[in-house]
Amino acid sequence: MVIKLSQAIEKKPYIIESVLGTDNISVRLKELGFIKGTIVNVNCFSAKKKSALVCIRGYCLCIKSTALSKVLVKWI
Amino acid sequence: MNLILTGNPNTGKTTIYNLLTKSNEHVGNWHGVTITEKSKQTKHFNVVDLPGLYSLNNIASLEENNAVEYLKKHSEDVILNIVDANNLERNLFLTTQLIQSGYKVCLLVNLTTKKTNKKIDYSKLSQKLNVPVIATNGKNRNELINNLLNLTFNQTKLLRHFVSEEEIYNFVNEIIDYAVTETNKTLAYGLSKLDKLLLNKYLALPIFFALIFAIFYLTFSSVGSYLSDQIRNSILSLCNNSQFLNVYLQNNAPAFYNFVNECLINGVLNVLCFLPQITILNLCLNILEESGYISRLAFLFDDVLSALGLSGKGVFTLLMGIGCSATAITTSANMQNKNSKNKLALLTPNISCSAKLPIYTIIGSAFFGVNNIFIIAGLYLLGLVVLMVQAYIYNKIKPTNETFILEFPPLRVPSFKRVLLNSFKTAINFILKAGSVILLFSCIIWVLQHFTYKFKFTTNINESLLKHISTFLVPIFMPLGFNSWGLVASLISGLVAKEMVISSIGILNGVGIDMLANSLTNSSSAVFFTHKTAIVFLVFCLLYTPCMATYAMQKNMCGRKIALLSMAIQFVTAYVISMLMQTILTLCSFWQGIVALICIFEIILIIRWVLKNKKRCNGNCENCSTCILK
Repeated sequence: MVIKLSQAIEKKPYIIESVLGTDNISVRLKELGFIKGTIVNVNCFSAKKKSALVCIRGYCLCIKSTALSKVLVKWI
Repeated sequence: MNLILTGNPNTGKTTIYNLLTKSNEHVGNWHGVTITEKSKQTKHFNVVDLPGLYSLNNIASLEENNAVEYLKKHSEDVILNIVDANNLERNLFLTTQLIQSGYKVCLLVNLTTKKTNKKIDYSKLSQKLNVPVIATNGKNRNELINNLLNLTFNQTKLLRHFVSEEEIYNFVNEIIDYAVTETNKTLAYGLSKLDKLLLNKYLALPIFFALIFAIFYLTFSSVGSYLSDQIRNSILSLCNNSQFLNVYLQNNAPAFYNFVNECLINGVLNVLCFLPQITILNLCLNILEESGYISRLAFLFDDVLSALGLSGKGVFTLLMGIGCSATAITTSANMQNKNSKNKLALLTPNISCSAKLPIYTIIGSAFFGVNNIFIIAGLYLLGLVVLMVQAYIYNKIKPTNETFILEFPPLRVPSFKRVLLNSFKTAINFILKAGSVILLFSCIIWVLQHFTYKFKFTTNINESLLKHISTFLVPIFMPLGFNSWGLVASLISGLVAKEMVISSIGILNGVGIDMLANSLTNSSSAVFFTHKTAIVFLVFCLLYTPCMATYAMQKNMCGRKIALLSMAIQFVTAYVISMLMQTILTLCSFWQGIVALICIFEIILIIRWVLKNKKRCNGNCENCSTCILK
């Protein structure tokens, strides 16, 4: 299933299979280890879900979800 | 030998720089403290500290661009790649890129003293990466220097060539499996139990406001106010008991006595009395910064700031603005694009800086007594509202889409030594400012006040040069209710530094700090207020043209055009809002005026809500949150 990460974080939890975007933010996510097989634990506190805390490789990042490109996800 | 310190953000590069060079550069527990390279020559090396970066290829901010450009120009130098022992997996991504690019890399594993569930075999790490590896706790200088002096670079090229990020991470995983043991991969380093409370959907904002209230209470009402009173009393008793000043000078050199009394005591010392309050405010800000709480605020306020065309990262700059606007503007470099950086530099002067504290405290206490804390809180809030309106307008004129990825540093107990050191630096800077800029311009004000335009000494203020200049400018300020030339003179002096406003009021009224508040209600003083003009004056001081230091920093960061634009915008904003305030207060009483302002604000919010809900989409907005059709 290919969806936007902004949609994925609204219905946690997901396993991110791959980031498909080639824009700057997608490349940055890949560099931060946001690649196949990484389990992403999402905590979303924002009412409009504009930004989310995503735990990647044992480290937490705050990501503005609306800016993110499409990701291949598997719902668990 | 050139030694370039580089690595991911918040890995302790500046701490190592300070250790190696015995410097005292600013260190903070958040992403983007260092914005440009800095260097210092030591006995053995020329040490260069670069801003943090995640990758050599994908540059996401101006500070990262500074770092990558520097590395490209200095490819022959030794790179000391600093990595966080607790987050090797991610930090080694950049290390791999650096080694692959042919740099002479030495890996420095930092933060080894922190609690961790990882055990690193440094020799295995060195063997796999084929580069020298040094471990440090960031404290033992001699050991670190000896290790660096014994470095040898035989073969730093990697045997494999990586094309994708995935390949690099596979390689990093191999290294971790080989060199690191007892790894608990499920540990979410960076989030603690306290985070659940600080980022709770319902508690996060009340906790933030409670913290801000506590800072205000400490600064303005309790400890800060008590210490300021103590300093004021000590200075007064020292001056009153001085035989040299009150007997010898007064009798033998009355003009010089007048200069010492009005310029030094009333001008400079009036400002110095606020040293404890400014130090306490900065101490509290340093504690927030050191603890890692500011990154949590960036996350919390990202929604609000993104609606204004900024991102959560803007919180760093805006919060630093409470201390000093000029310093805060330097942190705008961590924004992703130039437009956002310029926008932030234009908005920061709306945040009330600590230099304005003496104005609020003296004028506020003269007219509002113990309720002054609410007036001060109201002024800070007004600054915030004006900032939001300005940001909204800028975003309409030139929209920006700031992407946002921010690392969450772990919450930690602030380093007592570092917090005290940073606050001490602020206090020293304030004293130096009082002893240089404020003293110099106090002297200029005194000279203008005591000399005629034919440059003859006079004690008659009506003949003074200052009165002539200020009277000429009074018509500009008359619509605001500032009919007295003294008020205009004090506002002009505030263009140099905001502390000068109180300093010049002291000189013009010819009174010390003990009588200053009383002199403001006396209509025979050169500078006096009514309740109404006091409020309008405070609002004008909050918003008008930033000081020279802020102008210089804006010019340095964004260019002359933006700096001049900021001066013009701030003056017009202050003028319009003060005039609006003056009109409302003239038409009705103080409390009626406050209610009227709240009503205007409510009406604006309602109009905005109605307009927003009228929006209709074109049918292609799959993620639209306001769409009626959906």
